[in-house]
Amino acid sequence: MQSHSASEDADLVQATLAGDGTAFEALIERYQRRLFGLVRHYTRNATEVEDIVQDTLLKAYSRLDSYQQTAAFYTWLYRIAVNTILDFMKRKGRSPVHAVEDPEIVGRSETGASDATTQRLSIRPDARLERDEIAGITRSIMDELPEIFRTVLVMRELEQMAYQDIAETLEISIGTVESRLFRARARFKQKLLQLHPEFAAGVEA
Amino acid sequence: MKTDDMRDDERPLDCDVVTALVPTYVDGEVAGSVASSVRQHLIACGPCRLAVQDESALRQWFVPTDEIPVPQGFAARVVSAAMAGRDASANDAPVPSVRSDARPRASREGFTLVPPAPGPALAGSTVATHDDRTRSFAMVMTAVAAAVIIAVTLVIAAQSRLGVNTPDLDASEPLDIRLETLDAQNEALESAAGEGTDATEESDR
Repeated sequence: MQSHSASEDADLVQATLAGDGTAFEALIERYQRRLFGLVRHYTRNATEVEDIVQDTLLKAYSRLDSYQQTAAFYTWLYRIAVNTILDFMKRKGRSPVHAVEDPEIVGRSETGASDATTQRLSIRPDARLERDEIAGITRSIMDELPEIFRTVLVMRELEQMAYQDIAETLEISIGTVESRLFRARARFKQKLLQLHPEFAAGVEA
Repeated sequence: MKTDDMRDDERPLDCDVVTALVPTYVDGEVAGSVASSVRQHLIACGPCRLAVQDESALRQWFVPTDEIPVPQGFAARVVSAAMAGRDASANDAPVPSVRSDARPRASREGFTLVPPAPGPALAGSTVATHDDRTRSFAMVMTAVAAAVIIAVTLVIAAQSRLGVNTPDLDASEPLDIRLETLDAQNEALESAAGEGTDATEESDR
């Protein structure tokens, strides 16, 4: 995960704690684009994005004295951002009209039993699709996933975070990151096949 | 072909091992020496090469999305809100909104009612007196208050009917636990809503 120099961040944090508003503003300007980008994966509403990022930064400010420099500043900030997003998702509530997943498919994925049919289907975007269309399909599927899966997919696939950074942010082991990503991708693929079977290309085993 | 004087990381990998490593390998997270062994295996093994292609195909669904531009002056406004929040904390005053349009923002506890703008005078009517306008405004506000009370009552009744407890997510919990809690709450809401729909369909028959 790219970030500014850790020592520069630490200096700005110390200055902010000492009451220097310009230092806090400099910290915000370093990471505001990335925060806007992160929240964008969860809501397309520009007002909601701005509100969530604002809440994140205000929470970070109020808890700045608890930041221990054992982790990168952005990892700490990212964790606050995801917590704030979860609060937002909870307030927004998942709509009951969202399709409940086929329990048989859920059962298969929960037990980890391999499904030869879904495992061996190559499922790539149609070459004729525009990038925005691909992003729209992906977003609609991500909206259907359990948050525990959506979050790791956002971190890995969209934020390009390394396993180590994901592990630090979620406070889980790298092994758990790997297994969760495996399950999340399997669930994504199942949803994609369910909603868009036209993109599946059978592959001989 | 294994030989006794090979180091562990030099021994050829078999398909089971490589298949398990495919997602991590595509993510670029496999250590250098192991990655080299995987590449060697892929040169000779068609099925495992296909597995890598399938895994890579799935990644193509995660395309970068258009950025939301950060609003002009956002950082400065957040700093002002943070400082105002710090100063107001003793008085328990609300943190001012940082959005440039400065509309009243919904608080977590409820909504701020904005009095409706007075409409244009109807054609042919006499000019309303100040008392008439005050009376009209009071009637409108009474109607709005009544609508809010009815809406709140319906929401409370609906929640009682669903019988769902939604405890607040504890922000001090590890992020991973919060994700699992939120998913459990969402599943409970969906199940309860599904039962409510079934009951309604039964009574309609």
